[in-house]
Amino acid sequence: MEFLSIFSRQAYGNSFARECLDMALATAAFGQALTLVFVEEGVLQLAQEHSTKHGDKKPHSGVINALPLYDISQIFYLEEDALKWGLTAAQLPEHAIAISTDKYKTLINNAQCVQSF
Amino acid sequence: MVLYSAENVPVPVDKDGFLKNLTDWSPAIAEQLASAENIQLTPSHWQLIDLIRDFYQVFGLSPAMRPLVNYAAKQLGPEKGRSIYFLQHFPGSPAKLLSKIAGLPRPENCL
Repeated sequence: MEFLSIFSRQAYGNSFARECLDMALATAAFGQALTLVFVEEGVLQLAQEHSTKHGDKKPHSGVINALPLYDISQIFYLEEDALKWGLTAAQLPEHAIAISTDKYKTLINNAQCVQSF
Repeated sequence: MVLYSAENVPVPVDKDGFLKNLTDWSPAIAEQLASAENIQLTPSHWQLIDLIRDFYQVFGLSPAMRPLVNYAAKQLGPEKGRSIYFLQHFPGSPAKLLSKIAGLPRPENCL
């Protein structure tokens, strides 16, 4: 079963981001094929903090940065949404890959189970 | 359990022995925490303590077993990047035990 998790909200002011991440981690922990896509405000979850002090980190940016260590390697974001928020590739994790809307549609079509938060 | 700092001042811990203030940690504190768990810290134990503290420094969180083992494989090689290696050094629940001895918060358990 191919899983796709869509992160569409920012990490602040709601629990959706954390819940999506927890679902993704649980899915990966059970050895399932999983792809993550960050779209709309969700791309903000990928933005790197300027300061590396723990106290300044967002609620789960540490986990986002460590995703490959959780055996999650298929991590994408919508390039046009990153641009809307003024984010360049340099500000985003190396393991996250920019994709077009067409590729996004393909990912949705290819997945058997899509979870969107 | 009571831990003592170098100045012989008691160091506060929670009910499971995790440091309440991460800044209270020192190698001497690690020795006390390990000894309370009947663990003798050898250089290979210290290598894992340094590894997990490094992980915390980079990612700002205490790793669960999977990311910890993967991190070990990446930093220390495939021989040490295995659960069994961690279990041999820190039996039972290695991620939890190692984070306690290394003076880090307990790992989050999302499952």
